[in-house]
Amino acid sequence: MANQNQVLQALSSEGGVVTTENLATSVGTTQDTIRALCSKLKTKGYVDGSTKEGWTITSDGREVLERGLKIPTTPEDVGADTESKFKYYGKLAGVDPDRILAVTEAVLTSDPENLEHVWEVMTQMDIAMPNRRRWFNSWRYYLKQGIPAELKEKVIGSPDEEKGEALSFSAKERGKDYIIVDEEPVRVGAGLGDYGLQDAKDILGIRALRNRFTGAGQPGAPPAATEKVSELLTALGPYINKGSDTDTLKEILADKLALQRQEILSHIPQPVQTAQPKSFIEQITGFVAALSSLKEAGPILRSILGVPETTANPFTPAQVIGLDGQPSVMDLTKVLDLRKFLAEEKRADEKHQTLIKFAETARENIPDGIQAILKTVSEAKAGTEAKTTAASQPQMFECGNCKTPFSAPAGWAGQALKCPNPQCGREYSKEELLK
Amino acid sequence: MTNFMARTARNFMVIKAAREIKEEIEKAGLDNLKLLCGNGVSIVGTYLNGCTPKEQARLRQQFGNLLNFGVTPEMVLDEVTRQIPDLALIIEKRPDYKKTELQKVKEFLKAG
Repeated sequence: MANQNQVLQALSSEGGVVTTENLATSVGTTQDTIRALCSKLKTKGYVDGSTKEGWTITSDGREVLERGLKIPTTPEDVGADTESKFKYYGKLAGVDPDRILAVTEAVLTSDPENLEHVWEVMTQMDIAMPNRRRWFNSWRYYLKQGIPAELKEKVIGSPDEEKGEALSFSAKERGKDYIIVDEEPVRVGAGLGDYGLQDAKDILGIRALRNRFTGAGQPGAPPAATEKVSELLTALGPYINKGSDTDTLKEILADKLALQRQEILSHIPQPVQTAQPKSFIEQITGFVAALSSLKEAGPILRSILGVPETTANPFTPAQVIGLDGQPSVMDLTKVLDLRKFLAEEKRADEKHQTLIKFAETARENIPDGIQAILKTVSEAKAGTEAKTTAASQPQMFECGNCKTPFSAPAGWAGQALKCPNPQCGREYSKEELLK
Repeated sequence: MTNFMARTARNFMVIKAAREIKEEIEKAGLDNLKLLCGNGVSIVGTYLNGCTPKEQARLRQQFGNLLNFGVTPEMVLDEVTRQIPDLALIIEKRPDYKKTELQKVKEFLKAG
């Protein structure tokens, strides 16, 4: 897990302004962790800048590195001896390092477990009341001692003070015990974190949702709203921790919100305005279109404007006998349309009936038609056979004198023939035979 | 082909006319016709005499149309006997009966 020392070291080695992203890459952690750690370092005066502008190491930060002093962040860093513990709680309480050294020297001259003496030294060293109480109480808890009776009023404070400082302390800092490290809330101490536990959980939930829909860690993607809110909170953290005045906070908030507004507006498509004025034809076309739409909305407009209806009645009454046999009054136009429709229906029905009759007739007559065709075919066949038979049989003649029948010989080519009756013996020419 | 179609149409009309006559014969009952034929009474004459003038006029018109298409009463009677084999048997027994019936038809048409 990354710590403040690593961040400070990375800032020193990189030199100049380092972005949160680059810092996260060089330290090997997430940007959120870097933001949280840098915020703490900024509170202590070791770094300067913001997530948006980037981070730089301050002269105090360089001095810490040069002196080889580690910022105590873990129990190992703090040390187990009384002096180290006392100094550590002073740092946690946000007391100036010089005053910590001074108070520590003074306390160690006597009994550090004497809480009355400790309080007295802190008062003498002019430690601010909130920081003094925080330091004193941390040390008291470490020693597992209660508040001495004579110090009770001073440590707890008067009711007025409670309303003023103590309550503001609890409201502003006591709840912010957590930072987000590797997508998990990590408690770093009372008032030392960036978020309350619930806030941290909420932010992590929002991030999880965002990652589900957009995909986590997309380089180059525009920062989402939740990230921007996180940045805003991170940027505001130092001011809140330092107890800045309300006007400053309002000013910062207003600036941030203005930036957000501009970004949101930049995503809204603006209507394209034609630079060139409309031509006369285009204006006429638009006017006609507007008139046609007005015509459609005419009755509504008339009713709105209170214009009376025209006296001319478009309804032409006509008395008709309805389909149920009852007389009724209808618009003439509609009557004509109805009659036209009925006539078309009647024609369609008649056409349909005709087709059905034709089909029935055809169906009835198909057998007779087939019989007729067969009969014709058989007649044709019979006629052909009759012709063939007639051609194959020899042609018969009858003698005009003796009435003796005779026939032409096979292969007769029209030569003259004699009557076979020997008593007659008349000779016939071809013309006489075929006569 | 035209000749073939004309002959087919003529045969079709012969068949249709014979079918109508057959329906009329079936209405009258074939046994009654046999009885009339056995007694030497003309069936065609009896039928035509029983028709109203209006029906007679209709029949004449139909026969005239048939004749225009080349359909003769002989052709229709042959078709009727072909469709009613029992009637063919009766007519074959009395060869002059067919000639008498055709004569009645010709007289009917001439009378119109």
